[in-house]
Amino acid sequence: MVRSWGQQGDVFAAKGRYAVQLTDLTKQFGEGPTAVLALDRVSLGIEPGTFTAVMGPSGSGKSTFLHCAAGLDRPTSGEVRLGGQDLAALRERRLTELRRTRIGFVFQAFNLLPSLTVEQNITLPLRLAGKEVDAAWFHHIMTTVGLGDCLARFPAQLSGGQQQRVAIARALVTRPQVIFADEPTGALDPQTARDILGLLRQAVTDLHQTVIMVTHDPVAAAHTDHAVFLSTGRIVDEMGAPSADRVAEVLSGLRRTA
Amino acid sequence: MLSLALLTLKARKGGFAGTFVALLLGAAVLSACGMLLESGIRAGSSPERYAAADAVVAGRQEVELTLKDLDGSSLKESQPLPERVPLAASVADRITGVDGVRSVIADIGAAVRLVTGDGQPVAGRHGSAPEAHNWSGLSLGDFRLTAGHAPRTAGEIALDTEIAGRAGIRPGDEVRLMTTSVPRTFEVAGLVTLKDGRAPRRSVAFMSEPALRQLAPAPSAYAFGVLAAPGTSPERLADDIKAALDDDTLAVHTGEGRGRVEFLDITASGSNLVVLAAAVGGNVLLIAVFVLFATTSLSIRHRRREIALLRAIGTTPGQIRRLVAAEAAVTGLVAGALGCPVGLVLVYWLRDRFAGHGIVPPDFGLAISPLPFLAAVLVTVLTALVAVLSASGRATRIRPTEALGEAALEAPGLGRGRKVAGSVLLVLAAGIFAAGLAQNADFFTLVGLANSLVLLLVIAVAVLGPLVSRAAVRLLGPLVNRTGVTGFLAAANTRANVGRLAGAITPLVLAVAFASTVVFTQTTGLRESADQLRSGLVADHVLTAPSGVSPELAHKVRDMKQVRSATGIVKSKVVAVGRLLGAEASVSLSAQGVDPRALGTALDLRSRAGDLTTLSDTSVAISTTTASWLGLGVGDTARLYLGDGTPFRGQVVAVYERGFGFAEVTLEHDLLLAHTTRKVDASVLVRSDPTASGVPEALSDVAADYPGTVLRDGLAVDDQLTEQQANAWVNYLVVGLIIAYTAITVVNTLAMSTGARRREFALLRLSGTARRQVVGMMRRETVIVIVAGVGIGTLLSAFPLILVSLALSDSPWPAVSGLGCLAIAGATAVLAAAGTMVPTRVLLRIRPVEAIGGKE
Repeated sequence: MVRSWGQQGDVFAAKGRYAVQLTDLTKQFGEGPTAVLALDRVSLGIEPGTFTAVMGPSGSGKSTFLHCAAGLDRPTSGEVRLGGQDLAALRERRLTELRRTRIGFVFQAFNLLPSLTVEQNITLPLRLAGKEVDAAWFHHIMTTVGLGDCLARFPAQLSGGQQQRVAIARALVTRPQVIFADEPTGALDPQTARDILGLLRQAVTDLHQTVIMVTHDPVAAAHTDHAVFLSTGRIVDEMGAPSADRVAEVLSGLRRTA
Repeated sequence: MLSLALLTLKARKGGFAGTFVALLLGAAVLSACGMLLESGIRAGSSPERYAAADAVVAGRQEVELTLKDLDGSSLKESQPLPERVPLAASVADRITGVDGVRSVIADIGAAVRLVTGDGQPVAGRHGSAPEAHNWSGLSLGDFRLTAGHAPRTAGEIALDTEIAGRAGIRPGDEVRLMTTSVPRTFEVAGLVTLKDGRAPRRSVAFMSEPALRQLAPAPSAYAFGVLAAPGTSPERLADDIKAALDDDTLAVHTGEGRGRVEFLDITASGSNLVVLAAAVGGNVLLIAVFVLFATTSLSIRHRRREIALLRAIGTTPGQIRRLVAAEAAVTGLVAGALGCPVGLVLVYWLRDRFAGHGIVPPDFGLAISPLPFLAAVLVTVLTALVAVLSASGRATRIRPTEALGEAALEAPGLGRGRKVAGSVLLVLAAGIFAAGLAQNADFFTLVGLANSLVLLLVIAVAVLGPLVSRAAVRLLGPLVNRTGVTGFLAAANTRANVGRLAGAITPLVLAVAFASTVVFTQTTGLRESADQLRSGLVADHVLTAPSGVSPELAHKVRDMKQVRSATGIVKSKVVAVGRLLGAEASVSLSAQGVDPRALGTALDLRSRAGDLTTLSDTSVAISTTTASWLGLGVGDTARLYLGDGTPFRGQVVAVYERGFGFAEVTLEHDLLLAHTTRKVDASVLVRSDPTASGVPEALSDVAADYPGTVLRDGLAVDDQLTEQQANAWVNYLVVGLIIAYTAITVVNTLAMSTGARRREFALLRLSGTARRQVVGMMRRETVIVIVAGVGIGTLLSAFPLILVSLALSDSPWPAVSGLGCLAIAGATAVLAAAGTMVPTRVLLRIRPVEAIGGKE
């Protein structure tokens, strides 16, 4: 559950309780008068086993938020903790290894390596880490995402929805602490989008994963447990059990003020 | 990582095509150079006249020099000697005493020319002059008498069956032989053939020793053949002889090594070939790394998102590096293996060309072993690895967040690092230009300076690429903009993508600048040589013969009353110790021997200091280039080794300017002549008395005694320049390879960057641009690329060419032929056009709706 939002970084007592914990996260691009403050002292804790939507209009800092929280980019100041681990303390190599083992990613597009088959794409993180594939877990994921019959195909032979399923399977294969999804349904038709969101929901409910999804789509947000709203680099609102209508309302309010 | 690399390779064949072709060509050239190198090192032919000798003692055909290095330490370096090293008769006595020696037989010889009874000259086999040898030396080799009888009197000879058959000579016929004097008539007593019946490599006539002495006044011993006592191994014998002689100007040969003494032409061309193969191979390797760096960085740039995705899902920079390294190694291995057969074809083609230019004898055999192939594959893989690892900095710098965003935007402008690096390169280039002008360098150093100058300039343009292409767009954009809507689009595209434009222009600049520099440096050199020859030759008549003119002829001509002055010119080489950037190096310099009395009247070398006419057999005159090369001036003592290894110390009496056309070192005629193998003149220069009439007829009369002599009214400049032309040809070969390489980059770069514009084309067509209009737009963009690339390339090549021209001739205008320029520019333009327009048309065949939905 989202316990806290806004700029009260000091209220977190029990460290390690959250799957992801951000404290006073700030990211500035450029220097001097042209500098842009993409994130402005954002603090947020995300509990394990939850599905969270990070929302906001264009330029609100959603993408930067995701990059920093997932260890793809380093914040200017503030702290990111994954489990108990402070990401700032890690060198590039260790950070990469952490991404490989404890974080899963689903992007909007170009999720898969075109030269690898579906199966090779899914097991790639394990291969990179030099780990064995857990056959039972692999099988379990495959039945969940429903891709059993196209393991030997190449990404170019799959539909957009199938490609996103492969990406989700790849994100799940390492049993990560948290999965970050960046507009995972942005390029899909509504029906397929609904299936993919259902799949992410299933990952949370049945496989006890933690999913953080960046999206601007109120319908997508309706599948989550919580929605956090960003505007000009700050968290400005929060909503439990969001519905599409209420989310749309908040967003249009934000667009007016922005 | 290897299996992953194999999968990527399989899926992305197109992206690796440029790298693959570059590697394949590299492997082909490297294996060919390796084979030439090995053939050069192992050069030799099976012995014929020495085949029955257990060991052969001869002079060592190289001189060993002790040189001082930069740090003051001394090192030894050998220079091959072009003339046969003389052998003292006393050596035979010292060999006779060695244990295990049954007998020592001297092989005495002289090059001769054969004329049949009815005056027809007969060329030796493979076009080289036949040789006369002493009949007593027959037992050293495999020749057997097969017809007639052995020569018994001084008027009889035995000929080899091959030349006799070709000339239609039978035992009992009369032939005429000439060496350094008028021909003498001999009766062919018998015919000899090699034991196994094959034709000898060199045509030969055997005769008694007195006969040989009549033919050549002081015939020299070529070698001493040693026959071993029963039970003595040749190697053991050779070691014992070596120990007994204890003289490092002598060499003892056994086995195949005996062929090396017998056929000095092969041995000499072998060492030339080693130098050539190393130079060509080294040049190609340099360009290969340059080109491969370009192709690999390009393919990495086009895989940005893929690599970013790999980074995002947890691939460490090290793993990315290993991935690209594994891809490169596999590509290198396959390309290397496939390049070897191409190399085999190439090496035979090269051998024929080399033979055609007189660099190797026509029957020069190649030594083919697996070693060059293995080495070529290894070097290819290593080159691929070096290129990809230096380019992989770019790959590992790709940030994982790039996988999430839209297509990576070009960083606008030029980083400070690049600006600084570009400026430093330009300053360096200016430094080389100034240094080249200040120093009186020889042509080879000049060529090296010109090449490094153009290389620096091209790299500077590559570094400052966006800056340069922005300037080009500013200049050409408005022109293209005026050609309708397609022109407007083309101008807008180039303006918005100066980085992409720079990537397309740079390889064109490289191709044009390099090709123009190398080609026109050679033409400038040839022009300057020809100019010097034409203006230096003040003689009005020249006597030449294909295999040399008897030195007697010059004497006879000089005594004619219609002749004011005349001199024979003998050509050879001398070895000296030069100084380059503080370190000593041995140099081989062209040398000529002339009669000092004719200097100024028949031959004008244009003296800069001193007096050429005071030249004697204890002094020397040197060219301006040699003077600066050896650090000598008038009055200094020059230390040289003559062509046969004899040390010579002489006072420099003059420094002259026309060394490039004639020879770098000028010595007194008889002195140099005595130290050549053949002891004949290359030509006789004659300046007639202006008042005399009937000079040509009188000269022809005198020359008639020496069959084969031709009278001309000037030097055949082309004949004089054969060596330089052969040299120029090797340079053109290197240019050809460089062009082939840059062609790969040009096509690769343009095809890949055009291929990446699939979505853009689709978008244009969906928004109503006709297929024809897209083609028109691309055509205009290509014109901008070609005009900018060719223009900048030509501009860059001007600097090294002006440098070479100024250094050689005081005129800043290099010898540039319009046709050559057009060929270079045209070839580059065709490549660029093909590299852009073919992929454009292919892309336009895809339905736009499919293209826009597809991935990058």
